[in-house]
Amino acid sequence: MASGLVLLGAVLACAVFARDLLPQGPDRMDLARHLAAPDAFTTGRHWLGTDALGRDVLVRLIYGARISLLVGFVSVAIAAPIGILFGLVAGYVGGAVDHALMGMVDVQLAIPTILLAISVVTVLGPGVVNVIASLSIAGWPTYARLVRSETVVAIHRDYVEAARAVGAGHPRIVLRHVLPNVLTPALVFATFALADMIVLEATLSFLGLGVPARVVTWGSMLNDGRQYLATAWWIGLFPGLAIFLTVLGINLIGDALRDRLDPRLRNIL
Amino acid sequence: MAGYITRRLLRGVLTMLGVAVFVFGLLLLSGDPALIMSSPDATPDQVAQLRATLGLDRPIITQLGLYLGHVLRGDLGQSLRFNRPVAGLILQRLPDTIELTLAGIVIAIVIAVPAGIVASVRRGALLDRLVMAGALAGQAIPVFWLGLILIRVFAIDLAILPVYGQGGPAHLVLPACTLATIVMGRLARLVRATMLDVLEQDYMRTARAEGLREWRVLVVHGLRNAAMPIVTLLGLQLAQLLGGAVVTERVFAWPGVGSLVVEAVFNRDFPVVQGVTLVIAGIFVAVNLLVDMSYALLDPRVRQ
Repeated sequence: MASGLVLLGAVLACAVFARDLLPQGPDRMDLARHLAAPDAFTTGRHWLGTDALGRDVLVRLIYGARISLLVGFVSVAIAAPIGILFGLVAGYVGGAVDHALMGMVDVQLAIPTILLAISVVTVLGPGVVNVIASLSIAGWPTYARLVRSETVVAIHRDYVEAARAVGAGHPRIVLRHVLPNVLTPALVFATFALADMIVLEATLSFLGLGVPARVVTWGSMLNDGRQYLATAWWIGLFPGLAIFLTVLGINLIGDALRDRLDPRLRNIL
Repeated sequence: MAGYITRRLLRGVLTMLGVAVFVFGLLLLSGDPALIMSSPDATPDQVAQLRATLGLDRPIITQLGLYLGHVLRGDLGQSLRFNRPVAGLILQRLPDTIELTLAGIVIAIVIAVPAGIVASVRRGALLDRLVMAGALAGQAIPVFWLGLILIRVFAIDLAILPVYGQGGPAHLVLPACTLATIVMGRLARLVRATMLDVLEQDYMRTARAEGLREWRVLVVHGLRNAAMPIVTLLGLQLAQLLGGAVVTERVFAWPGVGSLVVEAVFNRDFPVVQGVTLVIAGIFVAVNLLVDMSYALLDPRVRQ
């Protein structure tokens, strides 16, 4: 947990304080020193080197964290409530409503997430908002399935029966007695989903389908680096490493949360 | 048994119907195909005529009915870019994607299953920790980044494997290894967790008491009983593997449906994007149907 928090905390700090730490921005060019190798241990001018336009890789990496985390957190913040609501309704109401909602979930889960995101972003067009929309659309079904199964278990518990016996209405039962019991697994899943969303955004940008080229992201940096794989390895190596360490940090937090809050989920998540 | 299979089949058919409706909805939202297909200097009358020819001037429900009818007959529409049937384009590229995906699954099984077994047998030891650390790292590594690193190391620096494209078993090694990492970490962790449960069962102690060799106890009695969760995971992860193939194919210029769909996006060739989505979803539904049916055959409890 501690190492995960340190990794994610470092990336968050970069994203939040990027403008304060590096007011020159990610696009300042030093054409005289384009494709310069990392020099952290020599001159220290460009610690992680420069790209083909002479832009500092470290500065772009720090600014890239902003979009990756923004897209990740906002997508989760949109997909999670939608999935939780659908899962609660399907599990609590049951019958035809359950079949219909879970049928929608089956349909979406049959399409690989990246392919779904590509399809949606193709229709909506590139852009940060559209990427967030496509990832949110791709992300909600797993919450719904998880919360639905937890709801089905919760509604048969004694305390729900007792609430029903004393005349509590459906909204009260759902909000006061069922929801608190399904929030823990949903929170654990949301942690892992955050990592998935960051990778998905990077994948879309790597494929050239994500945010516009003028916006710096780790995925688009990796895409740039692909062209210089043989001659300037640092352009592609460091953004990938940043994604890897961020996802690793989030997964470590997710593992620790799961083990502390709900160890049963070990077989699912 | 027949009832279970019928119910499962019906659910699969309904899911595919839902996917087709979803794909049709995306096609509707993607803009006016008649406008995209027309030449830039086409008059409004010519565009309207093409719209009528394509049936796009009819009510949406009629268009949906026609689309579903075409899909049932294997007609996924016409590529706007290649002016060829989408189904033909996909059929031409699909074998390469299946080859890559199967190779990825085989590599993942060959590495993750023994690693998971060893980790469970040596629980808490250094080897266990190494395997689990590797699995954790495998789950966090972006597949496209790993692909680039493998190209740099094995194709450029060591020059022992080809960089891009397709041409023989050597061309398959790097993309298949890259794709395998998508499931390898999760599979190793699942095998370890499942084997830890199995190792404590009475039949394992009995097998040992009968004097069987340890590897035989682990593989024949242990792994066989741990097989169902492993097959389930592979079935459920197939969608992610096929999705991962899209990215892997792009990195390695592998000529499968993944490359086709990314090219189609750049060319605004929506019928191809939606056709690939439909076919990939169909493969996922069919494979999971087979996985579920195999349970019903293997385990009578599932049928109830």
